[in-house]
Amino acid sequence: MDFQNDVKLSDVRLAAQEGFESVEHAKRYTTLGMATDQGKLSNINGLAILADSLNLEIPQVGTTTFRPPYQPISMGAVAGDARGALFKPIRKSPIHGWIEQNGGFFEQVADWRRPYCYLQKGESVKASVQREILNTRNHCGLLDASTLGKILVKGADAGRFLDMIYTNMMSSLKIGQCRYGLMCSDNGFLIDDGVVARLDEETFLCHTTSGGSDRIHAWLEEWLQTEWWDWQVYTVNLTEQYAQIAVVGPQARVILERLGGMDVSREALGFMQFKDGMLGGIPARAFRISFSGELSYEIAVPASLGQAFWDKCLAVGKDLSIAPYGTECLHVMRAEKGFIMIGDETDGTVIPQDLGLHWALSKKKDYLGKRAQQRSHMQDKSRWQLVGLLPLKPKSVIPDGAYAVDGTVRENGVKNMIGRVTSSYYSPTLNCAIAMGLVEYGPDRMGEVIDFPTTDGRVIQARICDPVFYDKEGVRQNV
Amino acid sequence: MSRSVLQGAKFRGLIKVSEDGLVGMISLRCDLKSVAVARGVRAALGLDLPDVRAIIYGRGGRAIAWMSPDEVLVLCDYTAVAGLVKKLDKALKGLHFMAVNVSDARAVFTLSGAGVRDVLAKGTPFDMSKFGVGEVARSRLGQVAVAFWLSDEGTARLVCFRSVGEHVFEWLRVAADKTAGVGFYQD
Repeated sequence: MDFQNDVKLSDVRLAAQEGFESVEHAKRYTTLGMATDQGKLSNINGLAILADSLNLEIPQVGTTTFRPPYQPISMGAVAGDARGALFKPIRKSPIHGWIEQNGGFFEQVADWRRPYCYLQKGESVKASVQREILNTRNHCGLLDASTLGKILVKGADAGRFLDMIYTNMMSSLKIGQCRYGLMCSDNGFLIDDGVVARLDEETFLCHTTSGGSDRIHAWLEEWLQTEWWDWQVYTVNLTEQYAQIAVVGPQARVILERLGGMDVSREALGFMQFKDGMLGGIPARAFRISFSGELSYEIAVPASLGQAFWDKCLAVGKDLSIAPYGTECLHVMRAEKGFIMIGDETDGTVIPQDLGLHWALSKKKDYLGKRAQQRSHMQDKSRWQLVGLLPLKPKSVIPDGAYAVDGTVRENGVKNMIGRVTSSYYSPTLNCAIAMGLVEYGPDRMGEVIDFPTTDGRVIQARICDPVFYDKEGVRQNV
Repeated sequence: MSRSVLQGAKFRGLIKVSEDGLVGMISLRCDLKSVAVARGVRAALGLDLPDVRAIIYGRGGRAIAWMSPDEVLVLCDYTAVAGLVKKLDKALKGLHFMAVNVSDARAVFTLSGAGVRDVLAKGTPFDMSKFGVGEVARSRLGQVAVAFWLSDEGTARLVCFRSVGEHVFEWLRVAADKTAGVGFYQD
């Protein structure tokens, strides 16, 4: 009778028999007419059956409350809009069109599409990634980082609020300075990371991961609206207001100097500082931050000027071998530096302590997740912890997610696992395979060799090492 | 040099759809019930704070639209934004508020023609039969968040995030296809 809610004739008769004589009761007992059509297909028949069961005329039974759709429209008017190119909204950065026309090999990053690499004519994906890495490390690379989340936090209690949101202290950040911060859930697990910049006494700009901007904005609002409603803090999600372009590599400063308009020298704009001004005639905020370990600036410009700024960088850097690079190059370069990535080194079960990030956990203040991290299981010394892994055969890249085994067998007959790979790449910079992984007692086992059996029956052996593979002193970014 | 996401793209079907190019927008978060805030906003913009779900128009295309219990959206000339933010900062100094330029974070469309209600009703759960001039809807269109209002009976303005500007334009092209008339609000 009701095709949407699968209500049968016998159900309505049973309702009458059980004493649900009022039409409203019969409706709730059977779910008749409660689907999205609000009974437009079934109610009249249902009422007739109820009336028949009660030996009444239909008008005596009455009708349930009438709800929209009051008037019929064709199904085509409202159904099936999510198909073809409109199946799912794709978020596009201000540079998206250029990337599409210039060899961008896209990957999905949340609802965004970002270039994994830029394919040149006849080039393989692998060769393209290696070229981009070497070019950025030796000359200059350009990254579209517009998808990074940017949340503005302002108010008299903004510092106090961010001290609760981040594991490290943000209220002590000086105006004009940047600080890398970690966010944990109330269960202590890492949920996001990024650089915070203090714009003025009351205002902070919080960068989130590309996939995290909406989720983290909602997270901030939830705490402000439900728990700390009396704190003076407002937030606005400014992610799409700016195109953010990273100018990276030994020639990065020369590129910006050629654009002109702002002093970006080591003295005027030190590492982890930012400055507002003009670059190439475009209003810009230059952040001297580095996710690659190279001399690096991230330049935020109004989104409507993003393409213009991008074009200017390419034009002035032509003879310096400037070239755009994609997300895989970004990933490899950060792994070479031992920088963690939310979603690679973390999977919702990882706490900062597992990743050796104790330095970012304030002892002087409370923060979301702090209490949870004091639970016995979180303090357990045998938790899998972050280490670097160098395969003994330098060309053997360990498959992502591979498990390490110690040769023993658990009671249930499964090989005993003592860790897993979280990031694994071939490093063209170091000319060998590198990986990061979480390993039981990892940091206490430096120099030990452990086994990673692969699904195709091989065993890759790797030596446990420090996760920073390249330029541990940070000489390259600090020039 | 500045480019809006669709650079003024147009489409004519059941209704006329056009992207408005660069539109000045300021997100203002503040206590909408505060007399001091209202006084400051009036001094800076020459506009009163809107009631719940309302939009108020001023001179020269300037308008202020309710967004949430503690947020309004100021619409103005693209080039006027920096000046107005400064004025708001000055007029509201000492109060708890945030005024910030969000012009580049959005795309704005004008939909015109007698079928406007029908086209919007295909994508929004908002009850278009009770929606009048002067009201603002914060809703969705298809799968994405939008805000819209009727400037007059046959004209709607619709705001979405810049990154989905192309998606919204394509969505409107399908919904307003000449063969896709519904004839519910308009015969």
